[in-house]
Amino acid sequence: MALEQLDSTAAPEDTDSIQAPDIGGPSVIPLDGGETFEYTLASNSFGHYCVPVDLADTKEAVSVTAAAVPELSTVELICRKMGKGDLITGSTGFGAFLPAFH
Amino acid sequence: MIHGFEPTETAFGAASFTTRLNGLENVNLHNVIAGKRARDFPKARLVDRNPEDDKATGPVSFVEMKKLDTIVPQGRYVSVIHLKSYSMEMPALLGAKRIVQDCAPLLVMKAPRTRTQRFFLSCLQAHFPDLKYQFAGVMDENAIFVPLNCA
Repeated sequence: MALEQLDSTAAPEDTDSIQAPDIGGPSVIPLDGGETFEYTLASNSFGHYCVPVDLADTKEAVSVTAAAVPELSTVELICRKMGKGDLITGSTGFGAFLPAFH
Repeated sequence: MIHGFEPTETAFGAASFTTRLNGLENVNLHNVIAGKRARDFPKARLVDRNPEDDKATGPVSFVEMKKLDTIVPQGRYVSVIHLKSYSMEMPALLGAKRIVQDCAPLLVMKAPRTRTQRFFLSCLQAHFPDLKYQFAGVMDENAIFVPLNCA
């Protein structure tokens, strides 16, 4: 990266005028029926997750929100045994296992 | 290939977004509940609710119930079935008789209680006697069942 580019991305001295983006606040997804739901994003070593606010207190949501992998032993067993075959999984919930199974 | 199902709309919408967030291309998600036969399934049975609340919400709404045998295309080799589905694990499996008979998959089914594990094993031995499913332990509240006779 050129020095000028580094300079242009350096933090300005006067930060009072900068509007900070809302990080970690809930966003909204529309559903087919016209309803919506609020969600936050979370990540762990396998990927990223859309966690509905309504499901935030489920075991899987608490786990991925803490950047952990829910049911790691089970995930490892399933991945090992899948081989080149297909996996049927459900109910998926918000997809807490999908990135690991992929 | 991953064949996933999720009956509630919010969780299905979130799972679809999780799939997109991670660029997962080999995931087929279905907004259904898996069961023994195709029919409409009352959404109220998907969550713990006060029956009085249901009266106040008006008409009963339904989600589509489908057999896993119809969700998964014929000819796919399924090596693992992972079920944790609103206490519908065994009906879901009985809707997958073709898959189980043809593929003899490893079964991972939510069953935190010993009674449930025994019930699952007796059902497996009754419905799939040729495969000789064995209880192979519990992991994260999931019972593991392994076929001794592979297809």
